[in-house]
Amino acid sequence: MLTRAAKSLLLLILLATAAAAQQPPDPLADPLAELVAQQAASPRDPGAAGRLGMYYHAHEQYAEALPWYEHAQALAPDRWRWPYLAGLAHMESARPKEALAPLSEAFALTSDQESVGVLLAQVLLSLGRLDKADRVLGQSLTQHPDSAALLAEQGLLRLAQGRFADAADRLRRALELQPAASRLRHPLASALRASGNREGAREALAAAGKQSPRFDDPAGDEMRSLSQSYAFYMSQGLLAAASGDLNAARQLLERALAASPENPTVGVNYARVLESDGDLEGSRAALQRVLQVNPDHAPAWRNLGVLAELEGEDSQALDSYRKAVALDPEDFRSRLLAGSAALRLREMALAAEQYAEAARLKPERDELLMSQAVAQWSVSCPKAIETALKLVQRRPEDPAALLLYIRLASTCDDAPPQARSNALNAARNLSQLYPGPVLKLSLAMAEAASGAYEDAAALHEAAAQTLAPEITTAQQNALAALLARYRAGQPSDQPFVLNEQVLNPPRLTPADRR
Amino acid sequence: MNSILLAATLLAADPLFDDRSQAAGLNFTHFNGMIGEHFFPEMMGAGVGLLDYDRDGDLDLYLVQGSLLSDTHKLSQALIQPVSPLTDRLYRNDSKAGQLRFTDVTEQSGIVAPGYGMGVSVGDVNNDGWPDLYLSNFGRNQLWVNQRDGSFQEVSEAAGAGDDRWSITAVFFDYDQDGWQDLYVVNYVDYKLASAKICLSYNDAPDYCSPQSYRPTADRLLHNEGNGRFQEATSRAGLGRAEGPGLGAVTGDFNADGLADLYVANDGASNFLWMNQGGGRFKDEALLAGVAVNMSGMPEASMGVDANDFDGDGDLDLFMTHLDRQTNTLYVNDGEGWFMDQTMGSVLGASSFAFTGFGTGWFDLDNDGWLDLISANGAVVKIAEQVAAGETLPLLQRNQLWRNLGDGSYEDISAKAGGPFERERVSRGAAFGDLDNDGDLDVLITNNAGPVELLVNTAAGGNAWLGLAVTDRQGGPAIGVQATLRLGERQLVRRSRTDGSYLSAHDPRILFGLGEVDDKGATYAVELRWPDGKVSRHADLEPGRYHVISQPAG
Repeated sequence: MLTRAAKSLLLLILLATAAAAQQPPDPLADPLAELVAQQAASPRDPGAAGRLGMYYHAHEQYAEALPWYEHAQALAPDRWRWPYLAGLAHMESARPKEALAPLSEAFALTSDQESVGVLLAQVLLSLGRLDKADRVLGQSLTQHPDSAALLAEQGLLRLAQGRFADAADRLRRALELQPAASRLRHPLASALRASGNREGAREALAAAGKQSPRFDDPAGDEMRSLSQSYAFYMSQGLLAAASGDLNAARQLLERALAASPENPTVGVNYARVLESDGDLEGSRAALQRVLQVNPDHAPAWRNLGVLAELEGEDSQALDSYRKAVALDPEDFRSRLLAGSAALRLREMALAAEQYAEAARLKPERDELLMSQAVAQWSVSCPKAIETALKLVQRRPEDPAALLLYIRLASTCDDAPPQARSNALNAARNLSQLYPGPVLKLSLAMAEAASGAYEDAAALHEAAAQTLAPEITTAQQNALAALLARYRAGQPSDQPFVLNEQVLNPPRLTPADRR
Repeated sequence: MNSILLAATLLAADPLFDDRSQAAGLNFTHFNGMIGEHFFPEMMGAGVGLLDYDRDGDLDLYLVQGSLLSDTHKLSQALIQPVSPLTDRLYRNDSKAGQLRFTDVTEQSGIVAPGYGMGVSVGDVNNDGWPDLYLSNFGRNQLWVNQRDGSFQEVSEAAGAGDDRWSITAVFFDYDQDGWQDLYVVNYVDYKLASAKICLSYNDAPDYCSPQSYRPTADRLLHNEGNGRFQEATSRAGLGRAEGPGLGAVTGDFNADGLADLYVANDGASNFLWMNQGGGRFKDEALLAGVAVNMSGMPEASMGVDANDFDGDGDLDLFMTHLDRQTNTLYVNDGEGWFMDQTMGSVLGASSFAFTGFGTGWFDLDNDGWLDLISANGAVVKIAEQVAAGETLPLLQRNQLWRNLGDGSYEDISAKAGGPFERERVSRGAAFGDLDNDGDLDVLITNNAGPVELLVNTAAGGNAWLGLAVTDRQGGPAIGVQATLRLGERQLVRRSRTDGSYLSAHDPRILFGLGEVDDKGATYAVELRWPDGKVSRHADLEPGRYHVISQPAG
């Protein structure tokens, strides 16, 4: 009796033969038809059968792929790649038990393929076959002593075995070989912690990330390259861009676009790769193509804004960011960019609103409160003081937060008396800790705001005489204006320049974008 | 039943559970309201709660219902038409002479819960000794207070316990040891029907989105003020700035310092381990404690969760269910609140690789003193073969049962467990309780767009057991009590809990499986650590029945 797989294979061969007899396939229009025809023309060619399996595999049609791999293996029993790919297909379809036999066969045929050792070890570990995994890893590592992926698997195995010092050793070596494999810092932390080294564990976790170790997988890569899915090309393209290979990224994104020409996500990612490569015109054209089909695609508007900003067109950039925000009010990046552009354009109310929204979306980003307070200053300085106070409450040990509060409370005509008093106390305490010109200036301002003219003047004089080079002319002028204002009992219409860097956020440059 | 007998049962392929839903009058079928738009919430619900709402000594059932999500569609357009009424249902346990029987008493109870339901939690918010209900919804949550006459009254707004965000579940626990049960509400993502995104499967067909498509929302801690009101305590407790797509939560004293800690399972993101610092403050120590991500450093899907002492070493371990192509994860506690992912050696990984697990829990299937496991499974993205077969909700999977082998590893015995583990459903909730008061744990499984399953345990026949109905000073079930019993070389820890699993609330009573007991006159001693930190010891407890033990006077 024919098995289901054999029946499937027979049916495919018959269909392929029939299709091939009718007309030659157009490979560009239908790569599957070409592969089917090739296999039909060379039924004893293991490569033709295997490539057909790879095509199905690349499109996650595992049930269709497996009979072709088995057929290819039957035709070429000494080749490791077909059982390896069959094992990979089983693993990708969540069947580790079924993956074990073909991967063991592949491993028996070759010991010089890193990928075979890695995958077989992963299967054995997932099945709880720790002793067998240990043997496989030991054998593979003699061939590939510098394989970070194999060392990482061995580290995980040692962790499972409770051999924590060994685990830490393996994982450290893997990280030395591939420092970017930041995910390994998690198991390293577990191994260190279990060995009693909690501080080491903390240090490892501080640098932990999401990148897994890489390993050579020529058969798998060849299989995956057969995918016509935009998702595959896009993800590969983004990986290439992340690694700095912008030329490869561009080509892969173009293939993604060819597979899904109207997909806005692909279009925007393509535009970003072009922009990173310095091709601003090409990037703009790509974004405009996206917007022709998807006029409400917020990321496309946001990236158009980035392009304008890179070209120094803040006003145009702000328009684009505002469109992006209107289309997707929950997009943190658009809010942040809009706030930054508005601040540079001195559209303080808008900047304050955007920073406030950005802070709502990412409440853990305390620094947004600083920008928000600065922008609020021109709209409502008591509100700016409130925002600065919130920042101080979150970062009570941060001198920059205290400094902002001191300066805002000292220079706001409508500041509540309590805020001025708090600012004065904070300035006195802070200037003890940081006896530099910036704090002396701040203390002078706080004292001036509290009516201590003579002390402020004395400090100003001292600062001007001894620390003049460290205080900018603008700051000296501002302090003088402030003192004069209080002496005359008249409010000033010129807000004190709080922090030039905050008030003038640096413009994006292409280098920043990379 | 001893191990040999269990093995014999398995070899004979006798079912270990008997589905008595229909015979017991449980005719509830969940409605998910799907209309083909792939709204995210429609494949996430719903749960089941076990509670003795009338305090007559047996467990009643609360079943959570869905509704039509879209207000621009008619009910007739739902792809799977409703079978049961579109409100939650309360069933009273009217069993007699060993025959399980449930009666729908929703109307008498006064409960009107027509929202889009997710989970149900059981606690006693007013310290009157009668269990109350907190309903987590896609939409406004509800708090229903037991009126002690068979009815409930909704007090959500008056108590300050409402929440309009998408809540999945909630946990009652007394985190500050003031004698009042506080509430932790687990919220998922910021999802609105009007701005729902369209997600595509690999072949570009519309499918359900993952949580990564949406912004996670912050959970909420509500402090019970003892005057009928809850006070927002999230920020002052140090929980305010952690946002995560939460699906499960479980409490327990993980580092044995006498304070209730909290573990939150986040979907596709790092989990939280909120260690109670005392003084009403928490600190997330998940990363360093080794339970934020799995051994390889990967955040997992984290649907269901349970905390219990699976290895009999006297501390609370953690188990979590995840997506297919991930594995379920076993985190083993070293006794100080530091965990090691030991999935690899437990064999729990390989057997869960092909399944997406939701409701779960450790329970002693055969009362041998070792905690076994169930996972209620159902996919979250469409299964190609089921799409091709024309399945309306192509997320069907079978559930799983694992037997604890007592050496840190498990055996998947699903294939031998009989009917309920052979059929495929989109299972979600799982609640454990002794519904027939016969000294073993039965299981309620809820199915999305499917009928509830009442699985009566038929495997635990011969082994001895000891039950504890721990009560608070008002005579109601006390939750958060940690009981320790020495059994040979093992020091078994169990807790009175309603939390954990997914969307569901368990029987709060404590059940110790004691294995085969040769000495018919043997008695046992337990040590109880109460939520207020006090410890009481109780000796000479006879096996084979539930002992009511009241909280010592303060």
